[in-house]
Amino acid sequence: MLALCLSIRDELYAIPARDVVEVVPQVLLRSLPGAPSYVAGLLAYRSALLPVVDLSRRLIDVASRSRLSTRIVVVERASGAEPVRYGLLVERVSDIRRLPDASAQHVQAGAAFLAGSVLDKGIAVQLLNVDALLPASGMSEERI
Amino acid sequence: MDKINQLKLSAKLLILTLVVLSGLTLFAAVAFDTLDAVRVHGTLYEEIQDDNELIADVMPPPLYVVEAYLTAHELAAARDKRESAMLIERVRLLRREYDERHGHWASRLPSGALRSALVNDAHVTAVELFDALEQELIPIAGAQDPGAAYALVTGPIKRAYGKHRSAIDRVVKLTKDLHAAQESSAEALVELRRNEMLAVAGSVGLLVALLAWFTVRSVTRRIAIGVHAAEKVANGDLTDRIDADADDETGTLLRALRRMTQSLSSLIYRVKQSSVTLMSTATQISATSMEQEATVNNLSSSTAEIAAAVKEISATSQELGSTLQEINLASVRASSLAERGRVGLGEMDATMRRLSGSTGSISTKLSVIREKASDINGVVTTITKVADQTNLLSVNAAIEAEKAGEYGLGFLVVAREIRRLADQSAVATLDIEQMVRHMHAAVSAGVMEMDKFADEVRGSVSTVADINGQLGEIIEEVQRLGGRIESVSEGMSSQAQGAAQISEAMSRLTESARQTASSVKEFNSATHSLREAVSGLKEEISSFTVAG
Repeated sequence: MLALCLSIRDELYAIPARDVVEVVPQVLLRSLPGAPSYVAGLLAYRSALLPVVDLSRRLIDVASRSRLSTRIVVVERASGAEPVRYGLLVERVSDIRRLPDASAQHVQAGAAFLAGSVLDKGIAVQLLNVDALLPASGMSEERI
Repeated sequence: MDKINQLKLSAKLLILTLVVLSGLTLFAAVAFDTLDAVRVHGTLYEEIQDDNELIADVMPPPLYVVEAYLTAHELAAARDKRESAMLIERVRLLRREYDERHGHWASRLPSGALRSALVNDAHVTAVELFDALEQELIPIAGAQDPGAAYALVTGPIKRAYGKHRSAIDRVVKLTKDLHAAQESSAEALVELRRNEMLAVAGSVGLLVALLAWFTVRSVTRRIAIGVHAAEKVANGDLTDRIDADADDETGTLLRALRRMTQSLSSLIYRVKQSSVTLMSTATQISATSMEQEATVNNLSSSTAEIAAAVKEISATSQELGSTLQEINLASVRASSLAERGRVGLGEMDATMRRLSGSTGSISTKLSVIREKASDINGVVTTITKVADQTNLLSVNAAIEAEKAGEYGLGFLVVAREIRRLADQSAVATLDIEQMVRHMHAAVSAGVMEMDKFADEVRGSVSTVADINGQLGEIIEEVQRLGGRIESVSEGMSSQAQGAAQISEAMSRLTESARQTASSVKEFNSATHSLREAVSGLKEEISSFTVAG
């Protein structure tokens, strides 16, 4: 499958391309007081304000650094009543390429954010589960 | 007088008592003797009695009118008128004498038997006789009648006379009785007085002897106490406490002795303490003067060293004088060398200035290059941004292509190509960036080197200027040096003179140090004799023992 490859502290992760709406450059985010710490802020995306989750902070509790390759990945969560879009602040988006599907079903117990892991040319890449990265309660897109 | 003073007190008092007693005895003896002389039936009394008796035996008593009786007889027998007149006159005289004596005894005699016998009995008869004489006989005496006169005389006159005589006998007897009584009472009185005097003399003498003995005893006892205490003090024992209880002179003496002993004791005590202090002080003085002596000796050696040093100074200043001359010559040579150096420096200065100008132009060129490099950097940044955006675009395109499914496959290829191109340009820009950075670094280094070089050149220029100035100063200084060397030479010679004076002063100082040393020695010996005197004093004092 086609997946957007990214790396957090030299560890490779991937988001399936079907979950990705668009990749936008890093912009200034509107702050959201009272939000959990992994929420970096609000993104104005096509007449909507989307919450943006700092992926690095969400996964390993370390804030993302601002790089030339830092992007905001707008993803769509398909579970629930209606699809919810939100953003992921990713420190380093490397490329988009095809990954093998073979071991997509291997899910470690207790790793809620991960949808599985694949081996790409001998390197382990973990798939991210966009449904789990944003909690269901309290977060929704707001229409301007 | 000395012999008397040498006698003991008891002997003196004994002599006094003996003198008093002997005086008393003498007095008593004289009194006895006097009493003896004037007592009744004593020698004087007997003599007075004899005289009275003689008078009585010889003189006719006026109060016993026997002479008048006899005269009456004579008158009766008188033939001569002249004789009768004489006899009548005699009778009258006798009568007057009788009256006078009678009056005397009438007033004198105390009343009693004697008085009445004389005044009354004897007197009456006497008066009767005298009356008879005067009134009867005398008138007929010249009448030449001897028989009547004779009858008168042998009659009433004789009778009156006889009565008178017996009255007078009675008076005599009474008087004799009275006389005897008075004699015996006088004797008894004398005896009494003599016994009294004996008793008084005896008791007084006894009292005097007792008092004298008591006085002597107390006085000599006290004096013995005083003597004993004084002897103890003389032997050095000042601890005795003299008891002085009496208030008389001996008590005062003993108290004075006690006070003297006490003050002497405290004095000796203080002297003892003072002698200890004095001894330690003398020791300290001795030690100090020893130090003084050592110091003075050091002073002597120090002055000797100073004298030697001064000699060296003299020699050194002479060497300095010759050295100065050499310096003079050398400085002249240095002056000419400096002149040549200045010329060379002037050329170097010009060269330096030219270098400075060229480095300035090189610096300008280098900064131009740096500006251009910065411009290139700006362009490269733009290219990088474009590449980045292109990359993003390609990613999004791939995502859309994936979402489009089959219809997006061609677009996917296009997207991949675009990404590849973007990556290439990114890599190229990275290379350019790197090159530009290198260039930048090289230019910066070059500029810095140029700056440093320019600084150094400027420094050299200023250094050359300094050196030029300094050479000029050297030349001036060297020229001035000539004059200074002259003054230094003068100074050297005066220093030599000064050194000579110091030397002289040193020798004088040495001399005075020697004198000081000798006087310190004398002081030392004086201290030594002081210490000896103090220890002698201590020995003397140690023979005394004081209380506390």
